[in-house]
Amino acid sequence: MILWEREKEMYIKSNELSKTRQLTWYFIIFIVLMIIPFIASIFWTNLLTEILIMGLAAMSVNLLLGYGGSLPFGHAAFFASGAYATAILIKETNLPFAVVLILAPIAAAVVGAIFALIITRLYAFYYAIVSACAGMVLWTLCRKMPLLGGDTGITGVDLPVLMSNVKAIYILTAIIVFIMMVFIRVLLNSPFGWIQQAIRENPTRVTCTGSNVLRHRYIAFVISSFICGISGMLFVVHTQSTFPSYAHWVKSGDFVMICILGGMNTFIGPMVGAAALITMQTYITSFTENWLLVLGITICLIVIFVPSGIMGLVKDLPEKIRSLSRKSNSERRFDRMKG
Amino acid sequence: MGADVWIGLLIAGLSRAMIYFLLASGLTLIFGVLNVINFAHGAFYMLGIFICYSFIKLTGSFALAFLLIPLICGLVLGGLTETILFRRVYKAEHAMQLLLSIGVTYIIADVVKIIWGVSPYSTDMPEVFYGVFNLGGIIITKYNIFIMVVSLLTALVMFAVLYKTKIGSIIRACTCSREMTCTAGVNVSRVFSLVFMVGVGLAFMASVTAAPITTGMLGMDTEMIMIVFSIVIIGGAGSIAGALLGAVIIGVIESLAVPILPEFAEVIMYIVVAIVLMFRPQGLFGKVEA
Repeated sequence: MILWEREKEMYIKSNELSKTRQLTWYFIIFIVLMIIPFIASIFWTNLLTEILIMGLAAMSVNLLLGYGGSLPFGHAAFFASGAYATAILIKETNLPFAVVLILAPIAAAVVGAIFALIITRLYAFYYAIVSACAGMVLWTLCRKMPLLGGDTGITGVDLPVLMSNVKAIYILTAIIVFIMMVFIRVLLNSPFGWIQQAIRENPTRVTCTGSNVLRHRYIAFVISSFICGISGMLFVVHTQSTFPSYAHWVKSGDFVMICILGGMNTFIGPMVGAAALITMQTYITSFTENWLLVLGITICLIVIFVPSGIMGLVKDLPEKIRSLSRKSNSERRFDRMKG
Repeated sequence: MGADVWIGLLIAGLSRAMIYFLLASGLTLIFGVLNVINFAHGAFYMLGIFICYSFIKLTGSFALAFLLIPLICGLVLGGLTETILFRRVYKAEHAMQLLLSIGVTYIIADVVKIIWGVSPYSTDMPEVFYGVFNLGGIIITKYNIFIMVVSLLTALVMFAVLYKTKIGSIIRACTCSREMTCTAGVNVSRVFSLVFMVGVGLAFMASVTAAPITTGMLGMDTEMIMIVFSIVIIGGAGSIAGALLGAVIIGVIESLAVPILPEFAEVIMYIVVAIVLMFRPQGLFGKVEA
């Protein structure tokens, strides 16, 4: 008992230490994010805006994929809901910009809450396909409803004067994305986040501890669609237009790919994956038309050789080097003999 | 609208359903035995339509295309993708398998774009199938009958092989337990290769069958695969009978929804999928997982 008390004390102490360290990290990241537009060129600011937006969308997917252990394959639906809600609210109503910024993600969350009624009851393969079907429903609606602009989407969304240059848009994006990242971090370290990870490992046991698995999955899905709606909204602010292809399952596939590329069981992985993918895309499309071929080959290589993603690789690297240097020559020879 | 219009739509829907079945049967076979989600199935279908166009232009024989393309492409492409790629992810998470098959989809789509360009192609209908049958006022084109015969024969052969032969019982044993089948002295990885090749071959068979009535164009793979996947899940993943029933449900509903709500036929289809899964989350013929 005494031993336990001491461990508890140590745990609290280390937690406090890591809290101050975490706050410092938050502060540093925020400052860096805010300084970048004043150093970087317009090209890089644009690129970074896109990376932050796609990274946030991928993070919302990762909330369910890496931490919840399910296979969300229709998040493009919520990305598109956020995007279309923003575009329509700005074009058709006279609401102030700030109100639109709040209403658009809520619209995405409502769409998510409706779809989640069916999706969260399912597991694995069924979950993936039904969420993809949900995205396709929205894709068809976007293409066919006159209000939603039809096949050509909605273009020329006017922003307030304040948002008229690239740097202002970047700063708005960076602030919102930063707040959402902190929110996700806090959420994952809360009991709610721990239950999510427990559900990933074994849903039956979580039921035995008295938690309602279905409700937890449902709430996580709605939160995730809300965050994905935010990134859709920011994308409209970034490009001033929205298209039906935002809801297509290929887009959802992009999000999943970004998660796995960056490392899906890590917090920052999706952001790293987005940075890697979008930078690569920008460079490769500048000298070849066959970007999809390059992307396809890259995906195959990643899945086969680096399934833990970039962040997984970075995490394992120190351990690998240490284990290499720690082994004596005879041990290494033994390893080789074992084959 | 009179009853004959509805019957015409019903028949058109059934023949579409049969092509869906050819695709879904390959997919559900691969999923049931290998436990792999194969999004590349739609890409194989698209590739097949383009290959069929070129083959018929070259040789002029539809019969030859029908016999050779599924066999050769199934063996070569199925074998290659299985041994090089999919073999390595059988034990990985579903997300990895899914991503890998999306990668294959991208590669195939771009290869098609490089070889055939971006313009759509359509294969000519062989002359044997010109004309219609008139069954007491109900008019059916000869080609629709051909499609139905091909698909039902395929279904029959699949059932016969799976439930009446030795290789069939080995395949079903692999579905139950890979390890136990292995200890019984079966080379499981060879069985897996075979099943994957058959699955891909079925996709090519679907594309050859569909080629004379479809226009091959880029992007058809991503649309087709979602429909086929919905068929597989409402039928119950891994069940051939489920695939047949699911294909008929989806094909007929898609066809009948056109005059009622022409714009939103697809939406109605997905709503049906949702309703089925609300009452039977494991699909119509699926087994409840322990």
